[in-house]
Amino acid sequence: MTQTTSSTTRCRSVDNPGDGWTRREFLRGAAAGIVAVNQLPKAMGPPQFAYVGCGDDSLRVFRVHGEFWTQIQRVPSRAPAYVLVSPAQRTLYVANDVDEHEGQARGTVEAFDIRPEDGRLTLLSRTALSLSATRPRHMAVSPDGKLLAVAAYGGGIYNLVAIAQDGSLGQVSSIFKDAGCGPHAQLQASAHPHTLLFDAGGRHLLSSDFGSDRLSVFALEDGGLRRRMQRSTGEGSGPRNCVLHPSGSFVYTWHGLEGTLVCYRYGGGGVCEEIQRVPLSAGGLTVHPSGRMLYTAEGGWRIDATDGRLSRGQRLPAASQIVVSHDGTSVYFLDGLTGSIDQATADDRTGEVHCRTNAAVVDNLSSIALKTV
Amino acid sequence: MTIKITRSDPRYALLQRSRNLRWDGNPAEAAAEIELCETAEQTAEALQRVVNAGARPTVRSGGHCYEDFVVNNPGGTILDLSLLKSDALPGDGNRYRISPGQVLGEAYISLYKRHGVTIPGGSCFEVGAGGHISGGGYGVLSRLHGLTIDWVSAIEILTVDKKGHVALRTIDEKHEPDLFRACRGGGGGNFGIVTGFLFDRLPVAPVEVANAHLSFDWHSMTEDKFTALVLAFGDYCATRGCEHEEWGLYAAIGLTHISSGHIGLSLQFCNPDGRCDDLKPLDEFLDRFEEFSGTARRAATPGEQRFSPRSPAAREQSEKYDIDRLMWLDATVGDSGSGHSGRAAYKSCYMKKNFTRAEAKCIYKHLTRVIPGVDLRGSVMAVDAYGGAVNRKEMADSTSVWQRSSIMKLQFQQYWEYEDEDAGRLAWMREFYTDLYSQQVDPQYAGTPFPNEYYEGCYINYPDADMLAYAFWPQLYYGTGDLYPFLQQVKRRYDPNNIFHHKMSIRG
Repeated sequence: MTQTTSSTTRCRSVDNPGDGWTRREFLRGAAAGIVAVNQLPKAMGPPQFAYVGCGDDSLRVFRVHGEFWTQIQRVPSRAPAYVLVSPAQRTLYVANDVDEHEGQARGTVEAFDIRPEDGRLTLLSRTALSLSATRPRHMAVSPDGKLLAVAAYGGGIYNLVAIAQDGSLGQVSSIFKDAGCGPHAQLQASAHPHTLLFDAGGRHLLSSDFGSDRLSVFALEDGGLRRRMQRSTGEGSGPRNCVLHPSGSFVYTWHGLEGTLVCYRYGGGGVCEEIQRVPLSAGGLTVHPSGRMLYTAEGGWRIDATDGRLSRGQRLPAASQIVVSHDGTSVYFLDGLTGSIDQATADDRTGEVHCRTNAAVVDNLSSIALKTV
Repeated sequence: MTIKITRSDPRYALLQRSRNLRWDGNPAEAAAEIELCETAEQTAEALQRVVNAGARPTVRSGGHCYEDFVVNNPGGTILDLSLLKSDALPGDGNRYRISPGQVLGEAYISLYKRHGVTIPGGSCFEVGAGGHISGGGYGVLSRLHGLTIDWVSAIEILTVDKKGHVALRTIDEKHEPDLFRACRGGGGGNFGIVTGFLFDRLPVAPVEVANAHLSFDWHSMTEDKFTALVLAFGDYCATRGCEHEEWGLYAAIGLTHISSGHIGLSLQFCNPDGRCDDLKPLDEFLDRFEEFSGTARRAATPGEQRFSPRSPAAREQSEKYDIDRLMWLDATVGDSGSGHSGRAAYKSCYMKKNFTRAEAKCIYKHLTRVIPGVDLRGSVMAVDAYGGAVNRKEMADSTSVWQRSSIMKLQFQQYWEYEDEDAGRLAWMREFYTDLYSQQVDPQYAGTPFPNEYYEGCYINYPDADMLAYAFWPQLYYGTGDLYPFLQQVKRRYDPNNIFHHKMSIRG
C-alpha cells in the first residue's frame, strides 16, 4: 500500500472537454465489445448513490452530488467485505466475511432492496452459505441477473444462489468444494478462492485462488459448476484480484505473493497463454469501460486493446479498491487505511484521470458499490 | 467398482434416507448420489473422484448418527461403507479387524464365534462400527473393559492431503500418532474415512450374564419418592459401583415422562471372570430399590430397553428377584437393536457425582410437566452406570475421550412419529435440559453441563446441534484442556482443505 496524500485539492480540469464522442456514441461504440453494458438500464448516467461496506458491521448509504457525498443511511450488516449492485441497479448484494452463522461454520450473503427514489436500503434476505463456506469475500451476478456466484475464501468453496424476481436470494443451489494449497505454509495451507467473475457470455465463471496458485474456469451446467480448466499461476504466486478486459479477450491478474501483474489471453471459456508480466506490489485492479486503462493501487496502465499489453500510465491515488462509474466518467479510489474516498473525473474514451477531489471519509471502510439510475 | 446410486435409481430413496426422520425428506438438503464402497481401494477411488469433482463427501457406515451428519449433503455424495464388511484380511496376522460397515451385532458374533473375544461396544445390533468406534464406542461391557477405542491398536484411514490427493494410511502409536490419537474418540466425519480398526488383543467375552428389569409405577410416585429413587441409583454409581468387583454390573434407569406410566431399570451383570456364579452383588444392587416397590416386567417403552431378553438359560438363581441367566451372546445380539426409526432428538451429559436433591427435583418437575396439546410419551432420560474400566485416567492421554472421571452417563432421548409434534416436544426437551444445567453451572455456561465438579460435558456420539448455540460447544464435547486445540492441529495437518465436515466437525 502506498502512502496517501491529501486529496481535497482540485486538480486541472478535463482536457479537451468538447472532443469527439457523445456519451450515446460511446455506449453504442462500446456495446460491440462490452456485453455487460447490454444488461444495464439504457440511459446509464453518473452514479447517484454509493454503498460502502464498513468494518464496524455496517453499510453506509451516500447520496452522490457530483464530487460531494452525503450519508443518508446506516444499516447493520456483519463484516460486509464485498458489496455489489445488481445489473438492474435494484438490489445490493453483500458478502459477509464471517466464519460462523448461527453456530455453524458458514458465511452469509445478504440482499438489500434499493428504493429507486432515494437509494435507501431494506433487507430482503439473508442466505446461509453451504456448510464450511466461510469468509465469503467476492461475488458476481450473472449477466441475466438470475444467479449470484459467491467465492468463500475461508472454506475454499464456491456457491451459487438463485436470485428471485424481487432481487432476494434463495437458498444455495449449487456447491463446488475446492482443494489445493501453495508453498506458503500459513497463507496457502488450503484453497482460498479470491475473485470470481462471469465472463462475457455468462456461461463461464473465472476464478482466482490465492491459496492454491491457480486460475479456474467453471462451466454452468445443469444448474451447477463444473471445472472445465485450471491453470497454475506459479508456485507461491498467490493470485488475488483478477479482471476481464471488456473485449473478453484478456484477463489481468495480480499475483499478490509474487508481486506481479500478469496478462493472460482469455477465450473459449479458458485462460490461455501469458502475454505479459510486470512488477506490481498492490492490486485493486479495475478496467475502465473503454478497455483502454487498467487502474491499480500503484497507478494506471494503458492497455493496447489489440494485444492486451500494458504500458505505464498515470500515477493514481493510493487505494485498496478502485471503482469506475458505468459511464466511465468517474473513478473512485478507496483507501482502506485512511478511510478516504477520492473521486476523480475520467475521460470516458481513454480512462485518463484528470481531476480528483475527496468525496468522503469513512472509518473502517472495506468495499464500495455504485448505483446509477 | 463402487455401486453408484443416483436419484433415478429405485434404491435411492431408501439409501439416502435418514434413520432419524427429522432429517429426512428435504430435497434441498439431499445428496445427489450414494456410492456404496465394498473395499478400501474402492473407497479411495470414489473419494478421489468426489474431491476432483468439487463435491462434498459425507461418510456413513451404519447411518445411526443422531444429527444430520451422515445424511444431509446438498448435491454432494454419500460414501456409504455399509458393504465394507471384511473382518479379516490377508496380512492382518494375529490381529483382529473390524471394518466400518460391520454392524455391532455382526462384529460381536464374528469375534465371539471365531475367537471368544468381544469389544465393549454399544447395545444396538445394527449400529455401524465405523461411526460408533470413531466416537469412542461405549456400551454394556464398558464398565468391565473400558471403551472400544481404548483397545484399538491401529487404524487404516483414507485422508486427503493439501493438494487434494487421497492417501491410505495405517496409523498407530508409532506411525502418525497424532492422527491415531485423534481418531480414537474424536468423532466420525472429521479427518478422513476409516477403512479398518485393528486390535492386537481384545477382552475375552463373558460366558454368561444375568439380566434383570425393574419397573416403577409413575402413578405411585411422589416428588420425594422420585428423588429418593434417583439418588439411590446415583449413590450406587458413586460409591459401591466404583469397586472392581462391581464393574461387571451395568445398569440403566430410564427416567421417562410421567405419561409413559412407569420408570424402568434394566441391568446386566457378570462377575469379573465373565461368569455368573456369584450373584450377591446383583442382589445387593436390587435391594437398594426394594423400598420403591419395583416390579419385574418384560415390556419396555421406546428407548428404555437397552438389551432384550431371550429364552433364559436359567431363572430364579436369586431367591428374591426375577433374574434371567442368559448366554452372553444371546443377551447381546438378541436385540433386533435397530433402535427407533421415527423422529428423534437426543442430548447427553457425563456426571461425576450423584444427583443432588435439587437436580432430582428439577428432573421430577419436567418429567411430570403436562403441556396441553403436547404428547410427551416416548421421552426418556436414560441414566447409565458408567466408570469402572472406562476411568483409567491414563487412557485420556492416548485417546480423544477425555471424560475419565464420570460415574454416570446420561442420554436424553425422545421418539415420536409426526412432524407436527416437533415444536412442542423439542421445546419441552430444551427447557428441561436448560433448566437442569443452569443450577450447578457457572452462569456464563448456563444451560449446559459445562465441565466442572459435577459434570464432564457431553458425548460426541450423542451429538446435539442445539449446543452449537454456545460458542464454547467444543469444550462441552472435548473438555477445557488441550484436547480440542490438539484436534484442531490434527485437522489442519491431515485435512487442511476441510474436505470432511459436518455441523459439529472439528474446525481447524
